[in-house]
Amino acid sequence: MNARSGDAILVVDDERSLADTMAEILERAGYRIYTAYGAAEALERLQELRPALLITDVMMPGMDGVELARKASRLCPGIRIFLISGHAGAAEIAGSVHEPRLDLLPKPIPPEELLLRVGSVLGAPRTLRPKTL
Amino acid sequence: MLERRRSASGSNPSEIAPELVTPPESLAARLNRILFRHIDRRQLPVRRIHPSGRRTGDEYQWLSAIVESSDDAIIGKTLEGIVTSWNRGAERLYGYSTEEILGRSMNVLMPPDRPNELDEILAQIRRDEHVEAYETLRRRKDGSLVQVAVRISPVRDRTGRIVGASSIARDVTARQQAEEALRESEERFRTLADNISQLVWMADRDGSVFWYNQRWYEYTGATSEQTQGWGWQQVVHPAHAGRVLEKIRLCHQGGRPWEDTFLMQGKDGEYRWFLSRSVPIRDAHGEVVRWFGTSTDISEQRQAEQALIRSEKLASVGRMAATIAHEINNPLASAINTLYLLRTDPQFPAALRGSVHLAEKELARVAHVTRQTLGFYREVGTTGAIDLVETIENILDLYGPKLRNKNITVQRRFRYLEAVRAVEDEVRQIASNVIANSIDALAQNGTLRIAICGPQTLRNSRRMARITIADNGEGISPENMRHILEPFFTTKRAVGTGLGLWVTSELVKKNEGRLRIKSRRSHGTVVAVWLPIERRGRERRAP
Repeated sequence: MNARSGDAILVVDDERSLADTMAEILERAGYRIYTAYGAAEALERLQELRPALLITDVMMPGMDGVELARKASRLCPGIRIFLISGHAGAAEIAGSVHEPRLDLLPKPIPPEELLLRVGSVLGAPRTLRPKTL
Repeated sequence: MLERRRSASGSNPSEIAPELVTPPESLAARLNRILFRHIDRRQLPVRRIHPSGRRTGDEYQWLSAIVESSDDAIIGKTLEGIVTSWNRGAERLYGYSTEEILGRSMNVLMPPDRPNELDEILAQIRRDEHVEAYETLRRRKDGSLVQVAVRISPVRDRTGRIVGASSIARDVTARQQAEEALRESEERFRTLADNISQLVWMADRDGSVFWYNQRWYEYTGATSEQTQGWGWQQVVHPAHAGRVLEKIRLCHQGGRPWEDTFLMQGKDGEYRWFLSRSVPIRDAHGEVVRWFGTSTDISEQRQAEQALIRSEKLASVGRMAATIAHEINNPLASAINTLYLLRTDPQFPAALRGSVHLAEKELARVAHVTRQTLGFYREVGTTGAIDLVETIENILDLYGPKLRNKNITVQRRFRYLEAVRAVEDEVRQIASNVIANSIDALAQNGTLRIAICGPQTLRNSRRMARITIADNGEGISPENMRHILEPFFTTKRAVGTGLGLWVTSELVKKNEGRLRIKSRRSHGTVVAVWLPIERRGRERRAP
């Protein structure tokens, strides 16, 4: 795992417009972003990319976000995970994962809050650091 | 029997006393005469009786045979109580043979505790007074006592002078025992019926009620006169009475068991639900002779059932809400993201920023309403130390415009300044919901008092801090008070979802706290929320 890939974020949502807009917000902020439109696709990319953070929707056809989170934490030890859900009872779903490196984010999440949450996990994006320094 | 008598007497029938067969005496008079004259039975000429009786034409023989064959004890006696005749029934009942008793005083039959009974009765007979049939005790030859029913009447001679008495006695021990058994059985039934929790009644064949148990009178407070017959209708709820009556009449006509569920009014004026049943009691021929009915109070079961239905309804509403929330949240999130990208694009014209900002604000409102109504967001278990003062101040800031609008005075009394252990977002939601309710309840220029105090030790022995939020607003009516913690209950029909306080109480429970609401109409409402100060042993440290 090199230093650069360590900062990578994988955004997963079966709703393409949502995955894309979220990716763009984070990308503009200077993070290195990859997107996947389903859990199966995300699993493939996880092994190859070894991202520091996985942001995934909970309700997805096929494998859901909770299952993906379980597999991701086994596949990439130390990975941080954000589960995004507007579903009532999402807290219970997340509670069943028993993964301390996991957070539950509301959907919709205001972009500013998303950036704050990502920043608190990964620190300020690399690309911005030279500017701020 | 007749055969036996014949062989025992063996007398010549032609020698019968002529006065005994002289008409036109009444049958009873002749019977008496026979009884009286029986004193000399051993000497009396008794004619052979033809099996068909009358064909001999000898009435004396015939009547004598009737007396002899009677199961009752038929005894003739003088006015002094000396036995003059004694039939087989008397032999069987008292144990003395005819030979033993004839010529002796009736006193041998008297139990020791009633020495004057015979004398009194005979005195009445002598005075030609009518003696009513009566029940008494007699002593048998073996000394045992027997309960007898006795009818005694005078015996007259041809001139009408009273010369003796005849009595007919019957053993009523068996009947009395049966009556006693019946009384006991009835007593047992009544004790049972009066002590069970159900209302019990009995009705005649047509359904007219003639008996209720004690519980019926206790519950309805009605008198026996008020509810006899069909009077029970007056305690049935007016909305049910017609249907109940129709059904019970149909069942009665068809002789079928009846069952119905309806409201009946208690003496306190409150209606309660009863499950009522009645079954027909039939005689040996299968004819309905009466109805036996019970009514069981099922109000509590019904309430439990309805609570279950409600909670199931709630669960399905919850599932539906979750689905709708998901369907709304996806496009909503995309739209919010897109507007953000638009607004933060370096090339976006500054003049349009205001419009985008407005759009973002409106979408944030949609997001808020969706979250409030269709599934409230809960952060996963990040219980931590929370500064209550800071949380409350933040909320008051948020409601600043509303407070100023109504010119509400906020009085703070923060005495407990340490942290509580809870989930921050949830505490914020709890306090925010309660404060918002208070602001809604307050009129112009009202006062909102917020206090934080502690530590207090509640029953579960965990130390707690208490937040008290009090207003002098319109208050909550006792009726509404019962329902305020139920989901979907709202008094703000136009704007409320009925979830605010329910969510609040759920969140308080989740954080292992306590919630108490006190209110008086037009005086105001006080809401107290306790939150734990110390961490529990099992609580995990945040990562």
